[in-house]
Amino acid sequence: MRRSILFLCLSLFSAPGYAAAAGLTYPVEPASTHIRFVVDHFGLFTTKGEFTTFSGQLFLDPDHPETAHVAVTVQTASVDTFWGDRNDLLRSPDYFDVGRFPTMAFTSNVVERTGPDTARVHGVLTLLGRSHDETFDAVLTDRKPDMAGEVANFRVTGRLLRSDFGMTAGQPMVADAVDIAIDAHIRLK
Amino acid sequence: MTGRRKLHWWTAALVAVMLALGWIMVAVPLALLLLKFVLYQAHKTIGIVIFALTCWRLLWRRRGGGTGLPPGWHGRAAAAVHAVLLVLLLAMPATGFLMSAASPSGVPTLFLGVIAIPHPIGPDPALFERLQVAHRVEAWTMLVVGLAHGAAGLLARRRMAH
Ligand code: HEM
Repeated sequence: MRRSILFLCLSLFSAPGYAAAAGLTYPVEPASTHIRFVVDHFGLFTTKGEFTTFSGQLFLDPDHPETAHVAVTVQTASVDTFWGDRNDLLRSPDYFDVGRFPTMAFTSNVVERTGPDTARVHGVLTLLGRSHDETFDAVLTDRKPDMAGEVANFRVTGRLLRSDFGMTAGQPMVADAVDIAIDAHIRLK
Repeated sequence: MTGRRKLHWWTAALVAVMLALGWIMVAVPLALLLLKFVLYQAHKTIGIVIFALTCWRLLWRRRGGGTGLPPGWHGRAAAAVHAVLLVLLLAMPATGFLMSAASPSGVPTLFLGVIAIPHPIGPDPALFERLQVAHRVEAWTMLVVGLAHGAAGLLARRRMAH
């Protein structure tokens, strides 16, 4: 059923349907992407947050994810944990030190395909002036036609250690490991 | 000491600790996360104990026994002060707990630092601010009325000694 709808759409809009098979560059922007994180406190509770200002580019051929490449720059001051006092603390020199390091950046090096809908993204994260190799797991959670063409939803997850970037403040109350989850919604061209 | 008097002095001591702890913990900077966390959870834990002790005391009271207050305005004033203190002993933990639940910080209420007491409501900054004001007004009322109650007790004892 889903296939026949897809086929119908592809034949109705054959030009954009074909275009979706080729690699293209898409903007990474807050309108279509959410960058969230979770950090643990002694296993008793967690703090959740997100970055609301960032920009970047994703080169993607949905049929050949191993050719993908992504580069994103995040404004560290846009950190939001839904509590003003905590946001101020996170912007302070002990944590993101947003005065000296207003941005952090991620650039992918290698993307390996790990399954029909999954890939592993290897790249470098630069934060607080230090660069460290990080790996994220990407899952294509959804790819479907909609009224205007075709859309794809991705979820990218990973875990990094703050200490790799010299951010050790708040330990042990604030765990070293931070879980990242990025949700992206892309309108395939 | 009778059980009743023990309960009275435990309550008085715990409330004194709670007032001091409350004012100290809010002054601790957030950057001292662990200290602040421990002080807040100690505050919440002792506050819940006070609530339980007060419920127990009310049950006890219903099982009879006079108030032992003298007739006349002294007795009526003392009865009014006791009523205010009793209401505060229940209202302070109640507003404190609801404020904790409504706090945008999302920090749980952990009895003894480990047993999570489920919050009946979620974060609500506007409600949090109103409960914060209520808890502060209650704290100052507790301090003033509690001191009046203590002073009256001392005076009554001196008069009895004469
Ligand atoms: C008889 C019991 C209690 C007393 C005497 C008491 C007293 C106080 C005092 C003096 C403060 C500082 C107020 C200020 O200047 O901001 C305070 C704050 C606070 N209390 Fe209580 N409290 C009691 C019970 C509780 C309970 C049971 C809880 C939670 C379960 C609680 C939660 C809080 C919280 C979260 C704050 C900090 C509010 C803020 O961050 O501004 N309290 N309390």
